[in-house]
Amino acid sequence: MIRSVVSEGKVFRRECGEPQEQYDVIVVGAGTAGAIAAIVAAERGMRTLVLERSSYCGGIGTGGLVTNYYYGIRRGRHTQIDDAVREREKGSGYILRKNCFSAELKKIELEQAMLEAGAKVCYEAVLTAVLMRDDSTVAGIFWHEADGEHCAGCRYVIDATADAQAVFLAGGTFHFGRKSDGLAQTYTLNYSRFADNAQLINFGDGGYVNPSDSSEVTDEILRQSADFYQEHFTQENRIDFFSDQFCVREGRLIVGEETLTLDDVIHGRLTGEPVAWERSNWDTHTMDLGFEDDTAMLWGVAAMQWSTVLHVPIPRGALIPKGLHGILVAGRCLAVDHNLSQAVRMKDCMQFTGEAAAVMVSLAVKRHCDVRDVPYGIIAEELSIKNHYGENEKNILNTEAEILDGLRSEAPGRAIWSAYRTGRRACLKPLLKENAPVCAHAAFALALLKDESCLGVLRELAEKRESRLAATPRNEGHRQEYGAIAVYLLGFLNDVADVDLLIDVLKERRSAAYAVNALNALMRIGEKEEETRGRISAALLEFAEKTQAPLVIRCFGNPRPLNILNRLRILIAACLDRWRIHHYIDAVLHGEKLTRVERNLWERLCR
Amino acid sequence: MKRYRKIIYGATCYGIGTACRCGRDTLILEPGIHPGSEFADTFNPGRFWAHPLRTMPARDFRSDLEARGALDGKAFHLSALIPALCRLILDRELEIKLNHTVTSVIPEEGGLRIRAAAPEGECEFLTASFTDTLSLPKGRHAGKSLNAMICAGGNPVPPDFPGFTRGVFPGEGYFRCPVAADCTYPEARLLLEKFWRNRPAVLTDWSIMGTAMRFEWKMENGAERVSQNHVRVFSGSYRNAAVALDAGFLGEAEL
Repeated sequence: MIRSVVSEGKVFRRECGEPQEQYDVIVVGAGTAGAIAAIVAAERGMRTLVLERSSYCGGIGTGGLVTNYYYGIRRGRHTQIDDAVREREKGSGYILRKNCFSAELKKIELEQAMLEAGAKVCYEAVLTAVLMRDDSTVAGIFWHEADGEHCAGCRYVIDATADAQAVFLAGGTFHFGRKSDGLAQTYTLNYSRFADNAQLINFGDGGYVNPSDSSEVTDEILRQSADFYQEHFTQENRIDFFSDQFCVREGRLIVGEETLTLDDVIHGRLTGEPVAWERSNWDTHTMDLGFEDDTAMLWGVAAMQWSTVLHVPIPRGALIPKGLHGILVAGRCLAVDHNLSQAVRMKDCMQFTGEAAAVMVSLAVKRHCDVRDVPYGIIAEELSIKNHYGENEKNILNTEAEILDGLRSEAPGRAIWSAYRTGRRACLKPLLKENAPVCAHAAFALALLKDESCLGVLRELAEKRESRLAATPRNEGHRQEYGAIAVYLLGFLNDVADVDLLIDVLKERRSAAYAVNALNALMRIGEKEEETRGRISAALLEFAEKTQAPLVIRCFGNPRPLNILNRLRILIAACLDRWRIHHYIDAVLHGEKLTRVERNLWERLCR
Repeated sequence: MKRYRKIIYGATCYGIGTACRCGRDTLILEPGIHPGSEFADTFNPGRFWAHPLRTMPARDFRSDLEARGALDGKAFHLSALIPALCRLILDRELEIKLNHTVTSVIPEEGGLRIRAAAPEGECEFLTASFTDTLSLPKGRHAGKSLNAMICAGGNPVPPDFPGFTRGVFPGEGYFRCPVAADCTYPEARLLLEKFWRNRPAVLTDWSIMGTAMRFEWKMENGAERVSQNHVRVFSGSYRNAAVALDAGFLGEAEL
């Protein structure tokens, strides 16, 4: 047997003895997914051990105070738990919130279900290492409790730690964050308030942080928590307690046997072997969207589809870490890309992935085979999978008349996306001659089709800094002004003729959206067209080396502005380094008080 | 491997006081995600807040809480503790790592090797001296409870009921549910739930808003010396956050 750990970024393995205890399944993390995984595994006759680092079950859904549901598909074992919680709430004297479950009573319901099914539950148990049979087969877990380290063997580990910590310690591989700057979505520090005779939960977003980097986490938590030290505490600003969970939307995403992307989903390339279905919009909490990739920008911004609800089939291979045996994941570390992880993280689906993992593992144990070798039909039958293929396509307008009507409306997003998906260039071009905003809507659709006939309209929108916002089903913070969308699309189309216009937009710093979109447009044009680099780099240097007022974004529910200027400077420095253009941005940054996240970004991109 | 003069386990009040006293070359390792969890996460607002404090920094800390309206005579607005300690940590530029669970303390020539589990994996540090402010000294338990944060609508008069402690604001209170020393979390949660369903009339206006994330342990003396350079002092054994901070500033357990 081998004890596998990671230290200073390297996997260390050393020989060790056989474990004293043996289980069929060890579930690491009894949070949203893990608690359900443990219940289902034990109910299916598996000898189940549950290791949880806190003192309760349910994770973000209980202690993290996220007690409501956001979209999702209500089916599976967890819905029975929720029904039981509803019963338990009656006459309990525990505070109840409308459309929410009692966090405290759900903790009880989950742990009682586990115990009644025969699972052994260890609280305050911290994962320390993974027991392996060989280089690729996980055979158990080491964990720490107050009385020291313990070890148990098992047929399968279900890693429900949210950040795939067991897969990490076993030497698995991961994706993390977006391509541009490597950052993941924002986190929140949730807290509970009592106001107007009711409990209110605040989900104010913090900044960007890598949850697997404890230095970044420490700095962010200290900074954000210190902000709550009020000059004067009053009944009005009173907070009653802080969650002891660091509420993370995105962390490590495993490299799985099958990886699903947002691009796959919005283009209808769906798996044929789903073990769970997510139903959610692309619920990004990113407020500097210009740093996201083209798929995200085209879907979320140019086609204004941020609020469109997607049905996402989770392939079974997304639960299986590539190259490892004896271990599955459940929860938000599934093998999806950064873009899709912003939709595939809602509680209904995450709980169901726990059930799916438990069913897959129990079938593999009973059949004495690898989980990969269990016929999909049996898994689907045991999980009673109901498929939702075709739901996403219902969003697409199929006739030219419907598309034209949509483009002539105040809410053109669906028509823009439909025109792109159905490839209807011919009917769009005449609209370029119509009045605003119809010509703008046509131009956006043509830009998605990479048709340069739209450049004139885009140029005009950018020159005017057109402030129009389209109507969407949910008019929340992700809409960008038409002028800012046009700036992004000029870069997307690699429009060399408008470099000077884009430089003007960057210099103007009208808003974070304009500045970020212009910066990205200039950098991508310069990347492709070497002869433009002289003009572009001069503008970038002026932007990055000059002392400037902060450039701020605001995260959801958080009044504290987040200055992204230094992050832009770092991205510019990395770009200029690639172009071999000398700069003094490091000296400028040296005079700034960088956050840990910014320092790490500098190390990653510029060293 | 980085070497520190002092490593403190727990961003507790005692631990932070100790770090302030020791100054540079001191590291705090905290398993959770915020400081002050021995009070904040156990929903223990403390008692005897008028208790004399022996150090100026602890007195300043308490005065500041009073000036900001978080401490009002005997009553403490417990949720102010985490922000107050974060502010203190930032102001004093203390070195701290959250999400680090110490898994072993290994004596070595010239000091101790501290091993911790963190999101990055296994980490090791060397230190001349280690103070553990989280572990319970064996055999000293004088009581254990699972506490709840409770709230009430309107402006009810706080009941004079065993286990009840009022907060600073109307409708803010804490309830202490005593349990046996060997009681598990599932058993304790069921006990509290059962009691609350049948609570006396004086508490019927009050609802449980949250259950403590950890047990509160009471003990008369939470300090013990494990070896010459390894001390255990359970910060939660002090009467309140300011007294624990005061003891840390003084280095009471190390004396």
